[in-house]
Amino acid sequence: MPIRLNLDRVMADREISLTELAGRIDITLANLSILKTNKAKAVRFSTLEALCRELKCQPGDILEFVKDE
Amino acid sequence: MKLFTNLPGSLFFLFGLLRTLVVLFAALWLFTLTFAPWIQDWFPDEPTLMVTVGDVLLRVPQDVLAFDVDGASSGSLSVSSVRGTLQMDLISSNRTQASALRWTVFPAMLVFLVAAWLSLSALRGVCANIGRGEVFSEGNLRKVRTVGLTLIAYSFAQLLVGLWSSSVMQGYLTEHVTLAGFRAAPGVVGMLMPSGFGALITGCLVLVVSEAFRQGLALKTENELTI
Repeated sequence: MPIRLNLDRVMADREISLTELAGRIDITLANLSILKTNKAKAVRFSTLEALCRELKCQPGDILEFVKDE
Repeated sequence: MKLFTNLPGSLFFLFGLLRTLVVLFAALWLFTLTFAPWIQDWFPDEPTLMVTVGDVLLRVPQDVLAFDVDGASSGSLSVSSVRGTLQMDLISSNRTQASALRWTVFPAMLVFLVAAWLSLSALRGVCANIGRGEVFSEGNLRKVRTVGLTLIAYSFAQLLVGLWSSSVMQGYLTEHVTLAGFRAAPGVVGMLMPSGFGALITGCLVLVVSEAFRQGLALKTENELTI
């Protein structure tokens, strides 16, 4: 998919673990793992909002458009 | 009441029962046709077991069946052919008749047995999956498709078997049977072919339903991967 989630990079920058983030934004560890590994088909605004709030970043920091080769 | 509250479970049981009955029915026919002389020996009063083998068409000469029509000439209404159901004795001791019946029944029975087994097994699997709460899954999609394709294949196979059976029975009737009690036109009896149109339409309908399953599965996957 051309839209890629850079959640792992942002999380590494903020030094926050998957379990801790999952607890803070109130989603399951399995779902957060789907986001982190770029397997998600879509992201709800509410999830994006919670991620940006907890990671103190902008949506553009998490989402990236990558051209298909 | 439990029958209707647990519909998938009831249908699972029903399809299993039907599948078993089909096999038993086929085995009974096979046994009866194969061991007809022994059966006749066991029962001294020569029993008969009449079974329907198809439809026959008798061409009627113009003067055999006439109508009297009020206010019109007698030739204004006529019957050109008569259609009827042909029945034969499944345990006949006549070798030629038993052979014709065997060659008519065996291929039709085999095709029916395979189609019934495949579709009933697939339907049973679908019910089992639904019972477990898996409605839109890859397994169900495959099974529903199997039912549709089996029905379509069955309709074509039925057509081919019908062609074969009609020619066998036609040959038997022409060579060994003389029509008595009714004066039909020369050429006497013609076998009518069964049409597999119903199975074809049902098969196509099931394939359309399988496409809906495919869309449902895609929606479910997307929904599951929306975080």
